[in-house]
Amino acid sequence: MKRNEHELNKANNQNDHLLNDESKKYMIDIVCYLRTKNVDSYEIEVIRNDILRIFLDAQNRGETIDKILGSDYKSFCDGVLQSTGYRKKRNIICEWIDGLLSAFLVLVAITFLFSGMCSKVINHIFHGMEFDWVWGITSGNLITWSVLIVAVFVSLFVATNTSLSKGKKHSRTIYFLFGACLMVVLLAMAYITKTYFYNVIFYIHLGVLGVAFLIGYVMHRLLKSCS
Amino acid sequence: MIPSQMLKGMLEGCILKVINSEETYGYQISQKLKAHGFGDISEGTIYPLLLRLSKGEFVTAIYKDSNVGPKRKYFQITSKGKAELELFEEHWREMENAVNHLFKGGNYETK
Repeated sequence: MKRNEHELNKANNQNDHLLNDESKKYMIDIVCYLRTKNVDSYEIEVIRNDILRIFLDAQNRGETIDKILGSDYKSFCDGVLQSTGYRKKRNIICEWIDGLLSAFLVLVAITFLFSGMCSKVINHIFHGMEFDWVWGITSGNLITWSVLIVAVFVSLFVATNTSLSKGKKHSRTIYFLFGACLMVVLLAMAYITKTYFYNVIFYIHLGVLGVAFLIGYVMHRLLKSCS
Repeated sequence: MIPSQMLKGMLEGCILKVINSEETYGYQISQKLKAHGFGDISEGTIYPLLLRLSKGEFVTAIYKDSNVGPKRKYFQITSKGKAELELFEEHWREMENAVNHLFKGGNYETK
């Protein structure tokens, strides 16, 4: 995120709190819709800033958002999209790669923290217990990471692509059930992979892992700057 | 009330005309258009057009304090915008003449 964008995002988040519930709902839907349409993220913040001003002004005049945007606010968004520039393909690709890389790094870090490796390192340093500084990656780990990354991207895709779908408004219960089912599947998967897929595929030295993380972080920063 | 399809092509030029007469903001533009007989044109209709005018550098925006709420975005016409407005007026006159000719004095035959 560029500096200007960061500042604008911060100001927008502050102004968001001034919106009433009705305006907030519209705002979320509009921003989600724009995000699916490959609009530059800085451009989205500029548009968000403008719409926030329009909504707050309307609020102060005691007007409803329906009156400001009309009943079909998808056509308002499409009008905005026609007036603004789309992102370059290179930027979109950078963002996708960055998303995948970040998700992978976070998953590896979480798995490492809960794998018992930390206690082995601490015991080795403070109590002199034997430790070879390698971490065994199991087939279960690889399956879990792959499924989780796919689940996150599918959820994001569904959430952003249904933001303005009129007539098919899903109730909170359906979203809750979807979340609950996903949680059951993930827990079942955690159990299955731990019980049946515990064979180590390869070993990685913790020093190599540290260097890989460092490279991953540098790549994340580079990809972020060009996305 | 003027149908929205008919308004579509000329609203941009009309907005430029309003901004040309004085520095103004979205809601005020909609009110001025209403006062001129354009009917209810919401800010939601005007905003995408203002965005396009800004992108094309026909107008520039400055932020000014408002009595209520956050700062307002005021629009000013640029020299490029003025040239575009002249072109719009020229095209509008041509269209106006053609439509008037057709409806008032032109030969109109039906089979």
